[in-house]
Amino acid sequence: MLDEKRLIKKCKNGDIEAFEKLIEGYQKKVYNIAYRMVQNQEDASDIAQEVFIKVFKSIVHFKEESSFSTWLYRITVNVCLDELRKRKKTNVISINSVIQAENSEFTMQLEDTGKRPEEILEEKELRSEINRAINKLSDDHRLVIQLRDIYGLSYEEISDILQCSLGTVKSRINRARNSLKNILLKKKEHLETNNV
Amino acid sequence: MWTCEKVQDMFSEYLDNQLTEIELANFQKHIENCRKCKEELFLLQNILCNCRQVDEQELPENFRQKLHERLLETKQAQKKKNPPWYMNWKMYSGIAAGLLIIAVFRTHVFEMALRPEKAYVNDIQLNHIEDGNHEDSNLSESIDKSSSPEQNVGDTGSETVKPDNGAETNNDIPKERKINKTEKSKTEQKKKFSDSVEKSQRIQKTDNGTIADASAESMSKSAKTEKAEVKESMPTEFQSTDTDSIESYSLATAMADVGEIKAESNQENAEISVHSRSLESNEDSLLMFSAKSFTVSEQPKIAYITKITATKNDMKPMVEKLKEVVPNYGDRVEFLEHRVTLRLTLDEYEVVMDHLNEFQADIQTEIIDKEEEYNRLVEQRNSAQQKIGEIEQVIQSMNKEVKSDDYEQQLKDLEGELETIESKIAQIIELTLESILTIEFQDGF
Repeated sequence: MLDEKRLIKKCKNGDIEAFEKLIEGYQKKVYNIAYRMVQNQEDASDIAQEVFIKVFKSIVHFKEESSFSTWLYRITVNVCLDELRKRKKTNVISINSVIQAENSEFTMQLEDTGKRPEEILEEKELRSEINRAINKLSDDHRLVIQLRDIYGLSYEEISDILQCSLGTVKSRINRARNSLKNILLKKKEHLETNNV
Repeated sequence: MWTCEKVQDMFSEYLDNQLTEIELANFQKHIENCRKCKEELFLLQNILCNCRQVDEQELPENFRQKLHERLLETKQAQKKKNPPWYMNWKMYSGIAAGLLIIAVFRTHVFEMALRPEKAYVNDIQLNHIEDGNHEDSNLSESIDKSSSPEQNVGDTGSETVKPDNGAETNNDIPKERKINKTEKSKTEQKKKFSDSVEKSQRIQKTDNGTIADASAESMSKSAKTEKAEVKESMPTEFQSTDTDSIESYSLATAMADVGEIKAESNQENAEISVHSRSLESNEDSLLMFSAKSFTVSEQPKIAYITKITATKNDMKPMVEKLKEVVPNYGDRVEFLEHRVTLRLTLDEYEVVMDHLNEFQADIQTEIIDKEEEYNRLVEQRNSAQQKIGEIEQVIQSMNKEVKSDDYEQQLKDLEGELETIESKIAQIIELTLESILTIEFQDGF
């Protein structure tokens, strides 16, 4: 923590090396949040880059009232949501991303079943099953699942990141998890009926 | 008895330890008796447990390098916008102001014409600095700004010619130098001006996207402030009856209570309510749990086994009994938020349950009276939640071109309503909470 504070101080003076040290642990996470939201590598990479440039530019104004990670995630979420909003307006890329998501699902399935076709309840299989199910959730739900259940952030942190009340966070997480469960239940039923 | 639907709506909060005492008791009661819900709970638990290990995407190979390059570029750009100390606008505007004042006392007309030029230039730099530090959204603005003040420079520059003659009487050598300087800087400024016009045209051409971005960004910002306003208008009592504070409060009461228990020995007229379930059903559920959830490895061992809800007084003799029965009771007991958890092996658990069954008796307390009102509120909450879900679905499924503002407003209203209901629920719980203590057994070994 102390180290982080020292790094932030250096970053405020425009120290690139310190900045890279500061974000080292977060790069993958930010990228993955973006990936989860836009569901393709290229855009996710662009978004993550934009986030870090933005953070670098505005770290001078970072008042350290919240933790750096919360601030960083807030910026990440905002950039992602802006991007999604833009897409909705242009109405073009969303179709592509669906196709892309479906393709990746297909290849993922091939890979996984290719390795061990006989073990259905294989752990890895379950995880990629969950992964696919998460990607089918709505934007908001995907986001809270990512923050709460993949990164294990607290309700308070999430409400800080999303800038909404604890009650909203709770009910959103609840709804997100329920739809996630239902997607997997449907999938399971589907598998079972197919096997019989 | 709660419906399956209601219980399933609470899975999430249950798994995150967010349920209140009454909710928890009702939840457990249902889960014990409903196989379907129990299975679904295990499924959800299983899913969430696996979420932590979901495969993450690796960073693209060139990501770090690309970022490094962009950071260098950004810094370079900032440096350009951030002039070195001798170009520092603060210093110059200070000097400019100082000279201006002197000039007013001396040959004011001449000096006035001379100095503001510098001041304007510095103002422009100031704009650049600020824009650089803020977001790109100001870019288009800064372009406009930079063109208009520069034109002013030209205007004031032409004015300097007139006062030149008027101030001739005071014209000594340093002033001549100054004039030369101003004229030099004037031509420089003109050059800079045409450069910046060119630049702005170039930027406008190549970077139309950025400007669009900027407007999108500002739109989203205004949307956010709207949100904030809505949040503010929500009832404040909800915030004050946050479950966390209740939990910490009840933890304190629980701790105090246990202290009391340790000090006092036996208490008469002990009535204990053990909510639902017998030992057999627990064993049954435990077996089922292990059979179900261990198909996938590394299951969490947070399998609750039994929860007993009773008033504080009622709990005392039971705790005494536990102290007798459980070896090293003090080491095994753990206070977690408002719960008292006993870690037991399966064998110990059976023994303890045998003893606890002796205390089993149903009692009617004011808690139960409150339950009706409570249940009604929960019903309301669930329907509100359902409506929210429906509206969210509508918003999602809607054509992207259609404006969804109306629905979003409805959603906000409903979420506000939900919070009011939840605050009411919290109030009821606060009323009854004081007299409840929960013991949880955990097969934590």
